[in-house]
Formats: sequence, C-alpha cells, structure tokens
Amino acid sequence: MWRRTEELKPSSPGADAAEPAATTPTFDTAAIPRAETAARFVPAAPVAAAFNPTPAAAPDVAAAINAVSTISAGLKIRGDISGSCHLVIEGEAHGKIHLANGRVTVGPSGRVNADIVAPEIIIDGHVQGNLQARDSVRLGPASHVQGSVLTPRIRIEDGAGLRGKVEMARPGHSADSSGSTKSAAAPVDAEVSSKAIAGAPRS
Amino acid sequence: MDWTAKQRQNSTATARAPVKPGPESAAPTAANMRVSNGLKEFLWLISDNGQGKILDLGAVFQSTVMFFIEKGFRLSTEDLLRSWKEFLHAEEESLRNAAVGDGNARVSQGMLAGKFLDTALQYPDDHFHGVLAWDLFDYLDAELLPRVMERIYTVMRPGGAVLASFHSRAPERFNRYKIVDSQTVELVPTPTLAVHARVFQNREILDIFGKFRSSKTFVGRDQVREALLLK
Repeated sequence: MWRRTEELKPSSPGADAAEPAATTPTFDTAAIPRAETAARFVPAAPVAAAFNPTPAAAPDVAAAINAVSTISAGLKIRGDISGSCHLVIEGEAHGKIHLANGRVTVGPSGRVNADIVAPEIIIDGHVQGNLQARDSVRLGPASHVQGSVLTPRIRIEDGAGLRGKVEMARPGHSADSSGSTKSAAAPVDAEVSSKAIAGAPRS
Repeated sequence: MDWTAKQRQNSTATARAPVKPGPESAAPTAANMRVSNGLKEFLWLISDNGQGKILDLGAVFQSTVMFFIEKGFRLSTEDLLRSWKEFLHAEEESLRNAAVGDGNARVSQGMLAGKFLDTALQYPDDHFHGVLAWDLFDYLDAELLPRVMERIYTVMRPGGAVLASFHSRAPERFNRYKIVDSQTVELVPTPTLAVHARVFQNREILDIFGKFRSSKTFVGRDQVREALLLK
C-alpha cells in the first residue's frame, strides 16, 4: 500500500533519515474496493529540518522540498495529515491537512473535507473546509471551495466556485473583529502589504 | 447607520419611482462591458462602512473579490443559482434511485425550496451591509423566490443595500457579472445555469422586495433594470 517512488526522493541530505511520523492517515479500507486500495499513495519523506521551528531554518527547508506525496484517485484517507513536502490529492481526504512547508494541490478528481494549512494551496477539485496559506491560494476554473480562505495572495480563475467570506486586513491589524475567522498565524512575505482572509458562512 | 438619510446634492436615493433612461443611463460601452449606475449608487451607499460586509450571490471572480478587498470590505460569495442547480441535480439523482412506492419520492417545489435553504444562505442575522444579485431573482422559480427574499432580508443589516438586476425581456444569453471598476461591469457569457423564469414589471419588483423600505431603479438601454433597495 505504501510505496516510495524512487524518482521522487528528496535530494536534501537530511531527507533520507526523516520519517513520515507526522503523517498519520487512517485508511478506511472497509469502504474501499481492493483495486482502489492498491492505488498509489506515496508518502514523501519529510525533511527533518522542516520541523525546526526556528525561522532561520525556513528558507533552507523550503529550498530542500522537492518531495511529492500523492493521494491517488480512488484512495480515501481519514485523519490528520502533516509534514513538510508537497502533497497532491486526487482521491479523498477527511480530517486536517497541515504542511509546515510545501504545497497542497487538490486535483480535479480530489475531494477534500478538511481544513488545509500550508504555505501554498492550489485547488482544482472540491474542498469543504478552511484554507489557510502563508503564501498563496489559487482556485482553478473547476474548483469548488466551501469554507474560509486565509492568504496573502489569492488567484481565482474564471469558473471557480467559492462559498465563503473574503476580507482583507493590513499587517498588524485584526483580520476579523467578529472572531468568526482565524487571524493569520503564519508570517507574511515582506513584499506583501496585505493579506486576504476569507471565512465560511455558518454551517 | 440610516442610509436612507444619506443625501447628496441632487440625490434621489430614497425615491421610489423608477428613473427614466437618460444620457447617463446604463449602456454597453464595449462588447461585454456595461456601465452600471446601480453599482455606482450601491458603492456610494455602503461607502460609510469601510469594513462593511458584502454578499455576492453570483459567480466569484478575481476582479470582483479584489475590488471589494482593496476598498476594505469583507466579501462573502455564494453562487446561489449554481448551488440551486447542483441541489436540484442531487435531488433528481436521489429520486431516480429511490425505490418504487417510496413515500419520500413525492416532493413539491415548496419542499425542495425549503430543503435547499436548509443549507444555502446560512449567515447570521443582520450580518451584511450590502448584497449583490445580478441576474438572480428573475431566474428563481416561484416557490423559491419569496423564501430567498425573506432570507436575504434577514441576513442584512438595517440600512443595508441590495443591488439586483432584472431583464425587461427574456435575455438572449446567460451572463455572469464581473466588476471592472466602480461603475463598470463585464458581462461574462456562461453556459445557461437556469432558465429565465419571468419578466418582472417595476411594481412586481417592488412587491418582491416588499419588506424593504426604499428603492431606486436604473433602466439600461440593454433592457436590463438595476434595482437598488434599502432595508
């Protein structure tokens, strides 16, 4: 079920020793036909240094990330996913997704029912949950998002569907005085003068 | 804030009578561009609330989102027609898969409308300062429309403004609306999401907004009327 793809191995020196300890998906195998469970799920080895909370280490970690983990079409995952790598979701994910570094991509066939926290988020499928990106969010033309978006930059392609609240706050100012949306916890790039915040309607 | 008290020189913002077409009335300036006097007036009405909350009931567009964000507003988007279509599609699938003789298979339009609004337009009461509804109300069916109007009224703050558009004749194509600047919108031709249900007369427009206390109508040369209403 878990197969490491050789060509996707991280090239960083510290990557080989890393364990996907933070990625703890729970497989709903009972609900998945055998053929589906055989689908490729490639957990990339997170970069060990990525878990170092010191800001000085962040640029090195970001540069080191070239690993991609894929939740392929037909695969369902329930539980929290965290780590430092790029994540591509073509299957289904339920729970929480938190990448300290890397990019989350929900492909056209991807179905995510989870909050996503990552530096960069690209949505081309369906997401029900809040998106919080330190760098940017892109909603593709076939995307459908129901939830809040928190990001310094947002790109919305024509045809995208977004059901949620959008607001902007200057750095250092409260994002939402009502408290219905979370304020940005991640640092914002120096050249970014503002951040866009979106909140979901009440459920 | 009492926006009905907001006046400016030569303003007739609280007038209930429609405005006749004039030199400044809405007219296409390019193939898909449309001057929107309704938008201009809408923005003026909500301008006192720099952190105001806006609800756009149409398709989400980058330019529209950024337009309001850059002005300091908080924008919520909910594509009501798209949600309605997806809801109906899901209901049809459900009925198709229902067993013969299943009592749940018998549903009325009213029941569908009620069920749809169990999940749509779910916002706190008195929440929004402004609502945008281009090409929406005259596409909703008769059972859904009054329920949607009631919900919109509920989620709007007292003094909040609604900008809605209505066709004076059946439109040739289905468009979504993208804000270009403070008085221009771009019409984006889109595959038809819903059939144009009916043409409303001015009096009927005022009737469906019966709970709203003030209105102004802008008539465009393109047979589109923009109605601006205040709660």
